[in-house]
Amino acid sequence: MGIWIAPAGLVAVAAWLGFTYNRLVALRNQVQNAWRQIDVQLRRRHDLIPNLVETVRGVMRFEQDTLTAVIEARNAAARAQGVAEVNVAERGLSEALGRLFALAEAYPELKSNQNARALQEELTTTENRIAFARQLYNDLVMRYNTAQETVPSNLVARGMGAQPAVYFEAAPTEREAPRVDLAIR
Amino acid sequence: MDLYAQQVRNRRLTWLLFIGFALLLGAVGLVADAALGTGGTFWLGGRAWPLPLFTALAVASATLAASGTYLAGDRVVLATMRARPLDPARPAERMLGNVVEEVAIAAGLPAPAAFVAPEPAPNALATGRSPERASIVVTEGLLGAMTRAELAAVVAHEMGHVRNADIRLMTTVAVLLGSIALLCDVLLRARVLGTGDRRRRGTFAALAVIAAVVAPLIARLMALALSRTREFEADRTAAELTRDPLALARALAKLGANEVPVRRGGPQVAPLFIVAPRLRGDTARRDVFRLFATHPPLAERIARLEAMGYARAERREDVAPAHP
Repeated sequence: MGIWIAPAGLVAVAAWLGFTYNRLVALRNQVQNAWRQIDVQLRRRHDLIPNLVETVRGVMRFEQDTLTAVIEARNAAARAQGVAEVNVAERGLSEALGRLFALAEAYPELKSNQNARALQEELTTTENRIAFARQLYNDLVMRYNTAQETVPSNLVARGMGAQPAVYFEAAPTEREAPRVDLAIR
Repeated sequence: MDLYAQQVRNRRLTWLLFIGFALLLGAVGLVADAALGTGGTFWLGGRAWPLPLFTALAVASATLAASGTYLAGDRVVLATMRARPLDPARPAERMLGNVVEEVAIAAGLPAPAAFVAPEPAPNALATGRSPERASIVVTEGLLGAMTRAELAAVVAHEMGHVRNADIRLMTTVAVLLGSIALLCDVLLRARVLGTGDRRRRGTFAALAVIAAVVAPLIARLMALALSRTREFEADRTAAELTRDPLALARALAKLGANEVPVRRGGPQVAPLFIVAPRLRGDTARRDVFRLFATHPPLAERIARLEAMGYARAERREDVAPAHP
């Protein structure tokens, strides 16, 4: 009877190791996949911005500096690589867009512009998609990091050299009411 | 509840429904065979085998209905609602398409196909057999009544049914319920034929008993299968996805205030809807379905949503009303 205790214990430990390893790998892959989803949505935003600037350029012709700043921030964001860099670049883009939308309020012509209204729906859905993709990503990052830090899975995580994933923060301007209301009141 | 446990339970209940349905049809066939003496024989391997004609027919049609429900149950529901694909030229429907994709991103699932039903009563439903093959139907009445955030909340509730694997079970219930209602009608009308000799009268009386007693009993079992916790769970999932339980509370309040009855769908599709629809008229079938209370009281659902901790929403949809 006693002779079986040691082998049974070994088998149990091996099974636990395998299970924990697989869970960590699955979580890491989910985090990576969620990041790719954010990337898709950010690209959608980048594609939309030239269109936005073209639509408002005629009306907002005295705001060239702001429009140029938006385009530059957009190009910088499109070039950014990796979570940390994208974080900074997207925050810059959000701030530039925020200034543009604030100025747009002074132009009632935009409110009756059919193009601007359609564009508003596109911008709203894009901002929501980014927010939801970020929400999913951050939830997964939290689960992955928690698994790496808590006993006993932290032992396996250290053994496989797992690195904590980086959260994707919301820009400070985005956290308040975002202003995507250039056309409709 | 544990997501996996709910999926296992849903699968088991679906099987139970199919078996119950087959037994019901089998009972009808057996009564008919015994009374009418239609048990024929056929020859196989030099031996005579009994062939209960109506029983065989009943079992065959039960199998057919079950596999049809699995393969095309969602299409039956979509056709019943006269659901049509979105028209991107209409701003409200374009917005619905966007909202469905947004909520799918939040859930980390493929976006379901979105449909609009030409129905003035505000309501919504989800159908399908897996997250990969799911459909969400929104009535025109709902599209006209909700803000963007409320629409997202309703869609997220339906996405909850998709994610929690409720849709296949609910679709099965809707389609089998429709079949049973049809069977009831046929059997109750068949009684008129039973005016001949005593034996035939007896048979049709027995069939009428099945129609009047057993079928509603099965329907009641189905209602129990769709326990009310399902709706609470979907509400909770919606709050988790949108982080905005108050938007769903507002949407439910609007749906509760509705007085317009549904035109299509009727009682069979009722368990699929986000809130129990108002039914029109007083058909005989309606009494059978009154046994159901598939949806918990709206006031309780709203109270639970309002109590949820996510009250500080991060969302931004309410910037624009759906219909400016």
